[in-house]
Amino acid sequence: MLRTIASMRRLLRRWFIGQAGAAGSPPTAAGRPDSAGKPSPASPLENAEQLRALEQRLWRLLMQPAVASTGRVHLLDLGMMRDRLGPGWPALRPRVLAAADAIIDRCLTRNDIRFKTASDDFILVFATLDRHAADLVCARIAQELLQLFLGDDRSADMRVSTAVGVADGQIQFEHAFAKVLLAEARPRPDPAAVRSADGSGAAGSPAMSGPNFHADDGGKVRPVLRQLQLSPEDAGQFSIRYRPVWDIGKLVISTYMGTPVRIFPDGSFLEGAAALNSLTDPMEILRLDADALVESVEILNGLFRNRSRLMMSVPVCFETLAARRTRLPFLEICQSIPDYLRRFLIFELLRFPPGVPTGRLNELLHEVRPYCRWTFMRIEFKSQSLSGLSGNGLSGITVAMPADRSAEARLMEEMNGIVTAADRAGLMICVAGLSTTSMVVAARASGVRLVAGNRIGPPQDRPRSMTRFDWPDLYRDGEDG
Amino acid sequence: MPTVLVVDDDPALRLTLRRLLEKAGVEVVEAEDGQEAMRLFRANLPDLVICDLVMPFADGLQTIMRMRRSSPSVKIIAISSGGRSKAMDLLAVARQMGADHALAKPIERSHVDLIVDFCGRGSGGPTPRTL
Repeated sequence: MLRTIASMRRLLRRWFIGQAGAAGSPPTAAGRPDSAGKPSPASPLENAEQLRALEQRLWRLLMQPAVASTGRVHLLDLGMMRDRLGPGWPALRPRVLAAADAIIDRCLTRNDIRFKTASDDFILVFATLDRHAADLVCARIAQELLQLFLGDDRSADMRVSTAVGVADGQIQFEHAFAKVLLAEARPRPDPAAVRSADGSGAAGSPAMSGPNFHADDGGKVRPVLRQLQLSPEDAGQFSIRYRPVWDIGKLVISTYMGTPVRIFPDGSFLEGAAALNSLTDPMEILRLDADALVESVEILNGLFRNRSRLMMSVPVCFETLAARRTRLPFLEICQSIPDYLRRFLIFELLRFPPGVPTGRLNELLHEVRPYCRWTFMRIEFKSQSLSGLSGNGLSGITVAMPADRSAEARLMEEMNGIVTAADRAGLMICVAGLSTTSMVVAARASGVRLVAGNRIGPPQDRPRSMTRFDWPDLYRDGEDG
Repeated sequence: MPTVLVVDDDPALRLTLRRLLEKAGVEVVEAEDGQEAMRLFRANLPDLVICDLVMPFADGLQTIMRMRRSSPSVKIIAISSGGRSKAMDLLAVARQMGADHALAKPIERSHVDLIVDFCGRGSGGPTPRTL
């Protein structure tokens, strides 16, 4: 059996070399032939053709009876998840696929092979695991994906298909549901768990060091290029800063909005969701969220002891709340927040997928509501129905105005639409990213009460005390036209 | 003939005001945003400015503030719909920033009479009914 896999790997390697030559560039990532890979110098149409051809050739390789019957070729079918997410699927697709990529990365060894099919399913070929162990790894991946995007929805499941042979030129699969596989395996040790616990492969598989198989034992399948290696500081340090929020109704800056930032050596920085774009590891995201929470509460406490009263919002990412292993440590910190500070605290939910089911949202909000006064959710700046967000304990929404001076008239119209939708859903609204007085005026005319952005004040390392801020203050530091 | 500068990003409203005011014997100059308004203000030195508050590029409050700084004696009327949620405090703010009067949209016939009256009488005349 090992010889069979080795022979397939040789074929794949040969194919990759051929593909790299044909496309004029190496494949996206060795070991991760991806149908949505980076563009090559060829036109998109040619690329699509090449990728289709790639998939067909990979299928042909897998179709060798000696390979297909070993029980090591698995199809992780996302179809049920697509059905479950329904109309939310197109918007969620990139997030689901990215999460699937990350989870699969974690669960596969460097000798395993995977690729995404054109229909957004995943083929996994295990180098060393037997069928049972491979089934369980697939089931675990499916379970984690379901947990992340559909929560504890017991009726949701995912199909794991195992290749068992070839007939009439087609790979024959046996299907099983992830939950059934896991339930059956409960008394036995879970290979995925063993793998992740000790860092070594179960059943004699080699040590895990990520998904790459380009540097496998048999040699290199593409040129090894020198990689840019920046220190963490050079690559941008994550931190939290605080934006003043102007309450236009009361003419006071009464809230500071904690916002994640990624600060680069030249002083420039990315802010908000953009700062977190590069992060996919839920544990890393949890660490940032936890740091932000602890720092914010410490500041809040200091202000409170100095008789300053101020509302502070703290960002919390979806990934932190979505999975139990990240949610519980976060909630432990929440439990340590003194009662007298909770009424000054707002949680701002970031990176929530647009199609997150209402029940799931309700469940997550229920977890954090006891520790804060309000919960806001950051959503995309576009006209949309917000009815799915109402009635489950969410206090309001935050939208960030795109920085496009030339499109102010259109943005004003869109803002009106968003404010109307928020009003209908009974949600407060905070508009961030306002950099011109004209947009602040337009926000107020739309009925917005809470605004933030450079025009109100830059992000600061520490919030200041509550201060009065009147309209002339808005125009005080230069007139931006 | 008195000159009125109408500043509003809504062309339909500008056209309506132009027709009504021209019938009343007032010369009308139009600007669609605050930047254009400042240029025309300096070029025409109007007797009265009617300025919307919500406009792209340069909002009405800023425009009023600049005009007032440039010409302390010019008469300025701020207009605004107050938005869907009737955040009418903007009109009050406009007065705070230098507008002589503030009118809530939609502009009605009676408003036009008041504008014409206000334009002709000067600031010493009776105060028109405003918000």
